[in-house]
Amino acid sequence: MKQQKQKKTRESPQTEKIHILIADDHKMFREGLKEILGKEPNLAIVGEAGDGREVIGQMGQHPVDVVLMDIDMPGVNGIETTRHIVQKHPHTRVLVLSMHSDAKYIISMLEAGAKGYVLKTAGKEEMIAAVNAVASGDSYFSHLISTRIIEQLQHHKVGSGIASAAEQPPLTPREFEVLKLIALEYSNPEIAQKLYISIRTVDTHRRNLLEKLGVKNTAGLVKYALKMGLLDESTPL
Amino acid sequence: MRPSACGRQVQAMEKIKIFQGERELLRGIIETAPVGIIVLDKHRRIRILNRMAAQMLGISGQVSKTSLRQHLIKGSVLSECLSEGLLRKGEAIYLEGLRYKEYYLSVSGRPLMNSYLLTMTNITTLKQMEAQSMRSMIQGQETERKRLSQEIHDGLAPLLSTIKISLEAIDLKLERHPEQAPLAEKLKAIHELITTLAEDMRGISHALMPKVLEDFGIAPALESLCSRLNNNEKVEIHYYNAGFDQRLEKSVEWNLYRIAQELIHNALKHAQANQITIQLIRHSNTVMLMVEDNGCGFDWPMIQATTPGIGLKNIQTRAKMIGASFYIDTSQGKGVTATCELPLNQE
Repeated sequence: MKQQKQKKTRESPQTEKIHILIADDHKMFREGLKEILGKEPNLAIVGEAGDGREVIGQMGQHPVDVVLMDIDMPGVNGIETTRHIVQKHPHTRVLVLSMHSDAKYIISMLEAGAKGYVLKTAGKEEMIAAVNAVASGDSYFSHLISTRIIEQLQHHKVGSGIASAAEQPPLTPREFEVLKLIALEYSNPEIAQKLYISIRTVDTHRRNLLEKLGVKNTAGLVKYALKMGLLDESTPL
Repeated sequence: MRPSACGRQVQAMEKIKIFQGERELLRGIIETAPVGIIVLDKHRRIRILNRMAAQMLGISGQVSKTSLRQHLIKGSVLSECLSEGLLRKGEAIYLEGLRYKEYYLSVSGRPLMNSYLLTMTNITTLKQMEAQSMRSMIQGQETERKRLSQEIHDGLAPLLSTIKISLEAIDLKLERHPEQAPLAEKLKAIHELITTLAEDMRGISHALMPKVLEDFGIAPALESLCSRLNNNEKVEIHYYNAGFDQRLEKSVEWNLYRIAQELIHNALKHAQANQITIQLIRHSNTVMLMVEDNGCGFDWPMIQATTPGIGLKNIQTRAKMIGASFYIDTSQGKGVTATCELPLNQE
């Protein structure tokens, strides 16, 4: 009777708790994380895994609200594991806990379906806040991570060109100068002299312009320069 | 009287024989010498041209009394250097590592009585060995860098993360004991030190061999490099990617990345540039890396003629290793535009 009662009291608050699975290939790190998060009354660590395969294996065994996901893991890495979880367990949310701050890792994890991204250098308050935010349906990103995401968005707005073929890659200031001079009927040697570069470099710029603007010849370049208003008197060189 | 006259004649004959013998010996030595020997007469026409010289310059047949330049490739550096005027003035010359046909030659010349003596050494093997040792050095460096980077990334960095998180746990325990406040304060300081250490280590690991290069290739790696530099250096670095995101062979990616890194390094450290533009442009069957800066530039022909700095030599070797062309356009005070174009394997 007493045992039953004890079990009940333990169970009832647990239904309110956020169930967490920790995925990281370093046991010591998992231990530390468990100690910190375990102290929080509303968090419960329900499982831990050292690689992607283990995570996937554990997912079916008990309900998991948040997976704290490392990216570099042997075998199946964090990106593939996240993809799997998002597909097979749509109610589980993935919070990345990584030391990578390079844009490509962030983008890959977001594309895979992660809801938040925290750097391993984060303090305990931040980690706890991130887990709570992600569990309640929000997203959470460390300061540096959101900076990187914004950089990416702004970069893609001017078009780094890969995302869509229709989008035209941006020109550099130097390319605008060369384009304008071409449109003003300057020859390669004249452009070279004016910009203090070699004729070969002018030719390289010309080739790059043709490629970037997707035009076949000088006429195409001139047409583009006109469209952009590069020949207007007021446009500074 | 007669016998003595006869004796003198015999003596003279003997002398002539000896002299002829000496001449033959000398001719033999010159002909078979392991260096190229050319002697030009006072009109600067060929008087002697030994076997080695003929082989190095690719000259055959009867050349005696003809002009040396008519046998040389027109417009070649060697031909320019041995202009008649220069030879007539009779100045001594010394040219090292001249490229001629498939050889690298060291040529030295000086007047000798009425004639002009040219000697040539074939240093092709030496040059090849030099190039090979440069390649080996670069390869060794890369392997070692990669190993160190991995060591940091897989070994030290997780350890630091673990220490950090363990400290957090201790901190949590101390919070419940207000009397331990000074201890908690010390812990906080340690914590900050470890954060700095972790960040420094990540920087080192990234500089050695960025993981993003291995995981995602050259384009994301260059982008990441630029955003890191933008954060840390007092320069504006712009990265433009025009349609290139494919993966290349690993060694090609490393080398291309190092070339970009070296060029940026030069712009920052030697040229004091405050604006750098890095482009990766996809052409129909090549990819072009272009690095432009607004720094002080340098006298490239001069540097190239003497000895290019180790950085530039490194870039040239790397470009050669991956079959890319490398071109640098710069002059004093006019910034640098460097272009590296790599042919892509068409599938």
